[in-house]
Amino acid sequence: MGKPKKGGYPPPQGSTRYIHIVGGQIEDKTIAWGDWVVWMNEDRAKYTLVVLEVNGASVPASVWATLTAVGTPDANSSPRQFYWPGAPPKDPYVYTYGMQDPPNSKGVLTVQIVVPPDAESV
Amino acid sequence: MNEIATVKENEATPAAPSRRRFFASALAAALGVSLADVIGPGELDAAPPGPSACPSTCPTTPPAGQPFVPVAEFVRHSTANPSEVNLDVDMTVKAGCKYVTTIGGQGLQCQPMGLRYYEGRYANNSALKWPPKPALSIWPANPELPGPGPTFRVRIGDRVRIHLSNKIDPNLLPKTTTVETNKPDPMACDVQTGTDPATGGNIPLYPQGEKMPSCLHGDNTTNLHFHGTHVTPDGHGDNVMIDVYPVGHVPPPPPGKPPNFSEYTNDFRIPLPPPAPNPVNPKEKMLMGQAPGTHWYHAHKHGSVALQLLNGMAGAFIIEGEFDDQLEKLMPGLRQTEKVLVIQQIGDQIMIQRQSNPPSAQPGKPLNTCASGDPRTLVNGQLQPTIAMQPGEIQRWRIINATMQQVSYLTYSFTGKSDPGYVPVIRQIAYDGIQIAPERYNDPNFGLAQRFTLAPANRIDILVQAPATQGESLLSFAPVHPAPTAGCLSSTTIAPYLVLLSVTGSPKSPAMSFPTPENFPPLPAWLQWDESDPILKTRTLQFNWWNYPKGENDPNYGQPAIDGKVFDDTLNTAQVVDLNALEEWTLQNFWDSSIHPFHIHVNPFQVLEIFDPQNPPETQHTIMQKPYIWRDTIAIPASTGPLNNLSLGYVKIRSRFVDFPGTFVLHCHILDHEDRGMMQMVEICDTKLRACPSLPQHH
Repeated sequence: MGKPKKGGYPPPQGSTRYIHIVGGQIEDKTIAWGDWVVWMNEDRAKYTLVVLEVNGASVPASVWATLTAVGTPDANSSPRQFYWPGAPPKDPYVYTYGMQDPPNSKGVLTVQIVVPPDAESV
Repeated sequence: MNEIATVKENEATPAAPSRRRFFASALAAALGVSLADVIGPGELDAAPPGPSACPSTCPTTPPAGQPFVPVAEFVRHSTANPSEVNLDVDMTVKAGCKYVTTIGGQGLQCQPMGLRYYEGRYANNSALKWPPKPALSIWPANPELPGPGPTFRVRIGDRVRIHLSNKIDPNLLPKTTTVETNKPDPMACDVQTGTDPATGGNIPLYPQGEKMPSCLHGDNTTNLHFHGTHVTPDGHGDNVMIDVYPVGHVPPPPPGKPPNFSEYTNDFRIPLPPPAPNPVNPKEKMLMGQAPGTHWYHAHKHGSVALQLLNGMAGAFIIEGEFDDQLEKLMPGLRQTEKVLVIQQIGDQIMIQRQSNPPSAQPGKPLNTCASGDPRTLVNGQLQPTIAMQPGEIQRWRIINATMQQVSYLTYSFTGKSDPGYVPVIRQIAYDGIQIAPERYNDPNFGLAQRFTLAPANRIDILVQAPATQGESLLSFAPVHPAPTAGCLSSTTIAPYLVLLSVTGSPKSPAMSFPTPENFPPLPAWLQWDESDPILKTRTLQFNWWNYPKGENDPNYGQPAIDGKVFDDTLNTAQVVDLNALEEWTLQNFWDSSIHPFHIHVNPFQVLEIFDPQNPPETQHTIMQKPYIWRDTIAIPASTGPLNNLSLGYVKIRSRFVDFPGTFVLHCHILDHEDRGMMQMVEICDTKLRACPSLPQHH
């Protein structure tokens, strides 16, 4: 395998990260710039996910995903990429998003340069 | 990987534990309320138990360097009844979560991925050939591990029947399309969206201007291609014009068309060499034989080929014949130690590079496509396995490049792990499953070369002789040319080796030696064309982009195309060839950011010339020597220079379109290029049989 060079291995090309919605709750997640997110609805409810805040500041509510009930063709979202053109910032970006309709749960998506090992593998 | 051996015959694989109950319970405990009061209990937690989508993390990270695990083989059986099937396999396409080992970010990692894969078993349910687990009857034994489908091993003259059943559950995978639904128009281009980092707003990434049928689409619809076979492309032969839909999502046919389906049977005979009768038309004699060798099968539904191969939907298809018998006589025991290495880069997502995102994709240049994740170069699903040999031993390695992207265009050679000089000797014996002539076996550029290059879809057969002493050596790889500026990240530069060769034990006895040029198996007569035959027709195919040289301001400028035309499933993008015609084709590459591995179905070709403008001047132009090397896939080198003054990479080939009239395709084997339009139909016309051209519509 060999040892990583000083500074570690280069960041990987974007990966797909799965976020599960279960019991009306959105799993919080930390991903890397360049990654893709797929939301997977495991409930029988339909959900529309909209972004609410970026780093604590309110933003226009763009729709991120519309998910139909589990077992239907649109229960999982299309992949959505979080990409930073050029060199990404040192500090993470924190996106707060949630369901447009009841139960109005919120989720936190943190995007940073690399995902810490304990967040992506055991 | 050792857990493969612990799976019992017919053991049902338990579903991964659902996270749903955990989340629901935790939530209820934390809030002290019932969310069912808000939206109803039936909606919140009513999903039936079943296979789960991917969890966030892998249960473990498999280590590298494990002993090499062969893929289980479905092997032919002999029969005295000439109409009986020699190999009869049920292949099911499924979806599930697999744990894929990668290197990147923090080093060795494991990543869960929702993938499509082949599950195979004998139609009669008998055991597979696989020495560590003779009772194994199904492959993969552990569906949580990535890797190729089972290996098929047949012999020239055999009848092969593969029953393909599509049981992909779209609910286990990301949605990338409107999927195959019960709508009148079941197919549509995939959609990809990006995020404006500052506002969280939407940025459309795909399909931009790409349109059906040449865009990424229909990801859960499939079929089978038997790559390297010389069999009929029509009917139940090597027919890639069919769509096998996922069960439960089979759309109704358009008015007046036959029903769509979720199962299909390929049933064909591997032809015997001339002068055997043609299996399709026994009144005619074969003019060419099927090259016995290292071939492969893979999914080939236009629009989803790249994604399905990235998922791992490929496997080895070994066809044995006289060449193998002759080698066994020269090196007794060679068959017993033979290794089949299926090279894959497993991922779950195709990533399109836009002209403005990322900024490295230069405006005015073709758009590249990459696999997401950090796909490592795996062998049979394993990361850098260890192959053991005795000192002095010779083994035959059949190597298949079953990847789908540019970054797997690599040159391989052995390097000593500790002592740089500790390397085995290799001898190339076949390319793309077709034996080379004794002259080429003794050629410094082929048989004697101690390195080899594989583009996507290429195969090579090598004899590997371990050094006479104990030690370790790495089969290393490196990009053929430096990564292009607009290319994908070259993750292959990290720990760049395919397998570790470990030479241990006592020296091989009796000693083994390579065939000599004098006793190396000669080319059969049907691979020795009369080179004085006149060329009936010459053609030039330009691998460029949509509307070349115009269209810079078009939204889909840069879409892969041939002769400026994106595949449209009509005669507008087709080559019509007379049966038995001998033709010479020049294949030109206008891209400076990528090779284009040219592949044509059914008929292999001879390579006459290669021009690679990215090489130093003294090695740019290679004029091949007779007897020529045969191939079915060859990398057309990338171009250099500014758009208005390109120095084109090109390849000149010669082929004779014999034995099988019908319809098939030629295309680039960087498979997202193919899916997005760098493909053409080929119709081989026999006017004695039917009016030509008669191209069918299949989308």
